[in-house]
Amino acid sequence: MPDADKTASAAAGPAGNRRDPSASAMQGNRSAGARAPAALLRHLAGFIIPVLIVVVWETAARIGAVNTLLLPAPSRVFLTLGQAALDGSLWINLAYSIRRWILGFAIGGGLALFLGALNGLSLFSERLSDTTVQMLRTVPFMGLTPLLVMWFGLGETPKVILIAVASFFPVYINTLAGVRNVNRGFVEVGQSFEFSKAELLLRVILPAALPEILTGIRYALGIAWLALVIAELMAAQSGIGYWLMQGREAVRVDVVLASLIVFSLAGKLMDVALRLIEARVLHWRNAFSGS
Amino acid sequence: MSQFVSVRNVSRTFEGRGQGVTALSDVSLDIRPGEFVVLVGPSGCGKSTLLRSIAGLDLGFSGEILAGGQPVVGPNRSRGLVFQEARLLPWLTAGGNIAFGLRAGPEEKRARVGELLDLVGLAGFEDAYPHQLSGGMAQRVAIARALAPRPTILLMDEPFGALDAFTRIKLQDALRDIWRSQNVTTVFVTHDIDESLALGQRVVVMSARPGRISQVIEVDLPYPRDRVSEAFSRYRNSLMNSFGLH
Repeated sequence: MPDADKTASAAAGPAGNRRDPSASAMQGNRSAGARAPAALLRHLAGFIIPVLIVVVWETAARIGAVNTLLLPAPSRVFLTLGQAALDGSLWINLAYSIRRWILGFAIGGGLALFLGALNGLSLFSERLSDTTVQMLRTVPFMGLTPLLVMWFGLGETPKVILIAVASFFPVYINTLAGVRNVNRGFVEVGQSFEFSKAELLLRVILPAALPEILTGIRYALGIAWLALVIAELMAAQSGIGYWLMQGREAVRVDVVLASLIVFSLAGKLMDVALRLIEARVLHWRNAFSGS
Repeated sequence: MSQFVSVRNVSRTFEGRGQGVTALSDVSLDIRPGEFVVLVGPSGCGKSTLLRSIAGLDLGFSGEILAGGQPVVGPNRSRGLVFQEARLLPWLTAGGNIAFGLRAGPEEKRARVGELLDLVGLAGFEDAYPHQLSGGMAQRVAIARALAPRPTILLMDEPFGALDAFTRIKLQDALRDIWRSQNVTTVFVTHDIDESLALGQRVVVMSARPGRISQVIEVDLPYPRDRVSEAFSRYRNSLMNSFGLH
């Protein structure tokens, strides 16, 4: 693809020339020569510290070096996790959490996609609303929690709103930037076939902006997951956050730790799933820069 | 209908800092149906501006342009466009790109895409993505895409300008055959003198500052043209002279 070559060389241009030649030669050797064994080593190296921590922690708990009321052994935490999985409470709470997360993201992300595309297409609309959005963006969404509780009580509404607010900005910013980065030439191709405005949007602009939009969505889903934790900690009758609060009230550190593990694992799994989806949807792009 | 495309007293000024730049100054040109006309000239002579005006992508001109008897007020499906960059949509396959401007059912689309891939010599590449195609192949797909809705006029803006000399000559020959078999009126912009003589029935020579037509040459050579023949050289020499190149 000659266009990609051009942008690549243009981007590398002056900065690339300034770079010290010996440094780039060293980089070349490292990446070409010892990539496979080095990667394996690095992979294993990453596990050394966590495994060591778990072993030390378990030993300390067993020999009574730490107060197991405040820091139960890892085996205890996993036992608690297993029990919750077996009696089904883990899955029910997880389902509630995921439902909130999806609902909040769908509302916030959907609005952001709409407004981002609108402001990307129309300068007037951007002038009208972008300043307001940028101002609101600087409000930390966690700071909204007391306000939302006072306005909407402790039900589902304030939780979903908080997640929606958190999801909004990354999707908005990336959609706007994505639409603005669309190659003008592609739009002219659509125009030459007398595409309507809707056709231009659906068949040219949105597909061309898709890589950036997906980046925004992935980022937003991550932030929405954080917002979910905060929302469930403020008060909830269900969800992983609720389980965590139960653990805190009963001074069950094992439950608190188990719920944190669930939050972290679920978040990681979602990120992996999204990356896979992204790779599939953008295969026309990944196939090029793959490996 | 002896004037298929009619450009009448067209001027175009681009507003810049201070005074504007006159890209086209009182240009008039008639193109016959089925004709192959090449606009040739140095950069800044307004040849691309003229082509974009005929296409309906640049409507800031004064004067009048008629295509098929109708004034040009915007892009039209009866005028196919090929640009210097192939501008293939990277998320679509070669087949998807060719079908991009087609308004037809899936069966009809598939048939037309197959037909066009044969026409441009890319049979079997239907499912290839743009990044898998060479520059010449991408430009062949772009030609097929422009021809898909069966336009009566094909407008080409330096389509082979970014290709190497060998690929360029191959594509010139392919285009000549396509033009003859499809009987599509073609307006072709280039800054390459040899290319203009290899392709054009008429070569419209343009000069810069302000952009205007300085000369129109009827190239009285049969196709396929022998690029190393004496007659070809004579045309080349006279063109070189008209640009002040010796």
